[in-house]
Amino acid sequence: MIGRAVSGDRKALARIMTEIELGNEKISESLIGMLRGSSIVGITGFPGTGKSTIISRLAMEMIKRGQKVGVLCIDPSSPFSGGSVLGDRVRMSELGRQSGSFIRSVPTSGKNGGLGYFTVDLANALDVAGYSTIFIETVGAGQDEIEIHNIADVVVMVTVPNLGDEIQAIKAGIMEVADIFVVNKADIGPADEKVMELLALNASGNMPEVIKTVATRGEGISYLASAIEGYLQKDSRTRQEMIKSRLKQLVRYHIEYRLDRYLEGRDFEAMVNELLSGKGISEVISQAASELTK
Amino acid sequence: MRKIRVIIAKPGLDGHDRGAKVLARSLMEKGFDVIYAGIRQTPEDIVRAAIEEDVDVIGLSVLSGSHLYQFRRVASLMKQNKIDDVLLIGGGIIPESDKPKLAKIGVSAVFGPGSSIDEISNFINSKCRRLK
Repeated sequence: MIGRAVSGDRKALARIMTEIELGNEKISESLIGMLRGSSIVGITGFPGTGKSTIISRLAMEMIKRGQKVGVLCIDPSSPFSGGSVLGDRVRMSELGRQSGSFIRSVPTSGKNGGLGYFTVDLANALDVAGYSTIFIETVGAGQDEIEIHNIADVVVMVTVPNLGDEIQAIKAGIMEVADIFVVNKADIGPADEKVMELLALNASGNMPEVIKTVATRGEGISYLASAIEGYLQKDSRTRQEMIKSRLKQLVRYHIEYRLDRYLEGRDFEAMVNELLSGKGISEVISQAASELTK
Repeated sequence: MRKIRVIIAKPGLDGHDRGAKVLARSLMEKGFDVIYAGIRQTPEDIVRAAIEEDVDVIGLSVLSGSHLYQFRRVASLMKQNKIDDVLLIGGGIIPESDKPKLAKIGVSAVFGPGSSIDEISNFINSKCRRLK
């Protein structure tokens, strides 16, 4: 099946991704030895700032520049039903028609941090299938959804005018992980003030570039594409080092996946009762921990 | 932990997507992963998205009267791409007299105005051929 995906069979690649999501570790393992080392571009930002539209335009630009582009669109799963509405693709109709693109929507399935448990495995599948640039769109992120930082080679943080002030901009968390800032919808408000707020972060000397865009009209997109390429070119790590840092997260997410599945099946009420009956927290937890490693 | 994946799309030129959006949201609440592909999709767009997303169900909403053409084209593209394990269902404004024709094309069910969410989700759960 992997061979067919490498030779361009979309259906085979899609099935590989499904197998990964079903927890088929054999597939995930076979991909690791075949990685080519594509660039991973993370696009993050608050809900509704235009991440999907930017990816749609940006990916078209990258295709024009000779890349094959894979896209993973992460959207949240319901904490109640477990289902999801995966609605990023709706902004990507034009991109979806290009021969050099492959778009896959991915639910978080309960994982925290803005990605899904198998995001790295899925990116690996795109990598092996020959997609040279992989965009990962995080869930509409809050201040703390920063995991994209650990798997992307460059992180683009999208914001818009009239959203928060400079106090929001200096806080820890998501504002710290951006390598490039985009002020999208630059036509709807005081975009230059937002740019100034972001530039005021320049305390450490490592000021990320700040770029204004109007993604729906394609304005600023070519400039953004060049900024991304420039950032990637400056990266001094070897391909092998880049792949390794990505695989570190793969291992972490697989552990997290098992831990979360384990927690789902726990009888917390029994633990609370133990706590109420006077047992210490460590004692209550250590019983659970020893069960996990059984 | 993989859920049944459903793509909801509107082929053709009508933009009346309220029903499609309500259905997308409701199926999410029933525990499905719903890929919402939106309005003005060509049959080619829809089938390619269905392949890449590896869906179990394709749900098309048509209110423009072009349902026979749209479904016929989607069904034939599915055949061309050897997609034989995906459920094709429809909704929108579809005359009673066209339902047998749609069934012949390969549309498993048509859910018009007044259909209940339970009816639709039970149908998908019982007919979905994959992940069983």
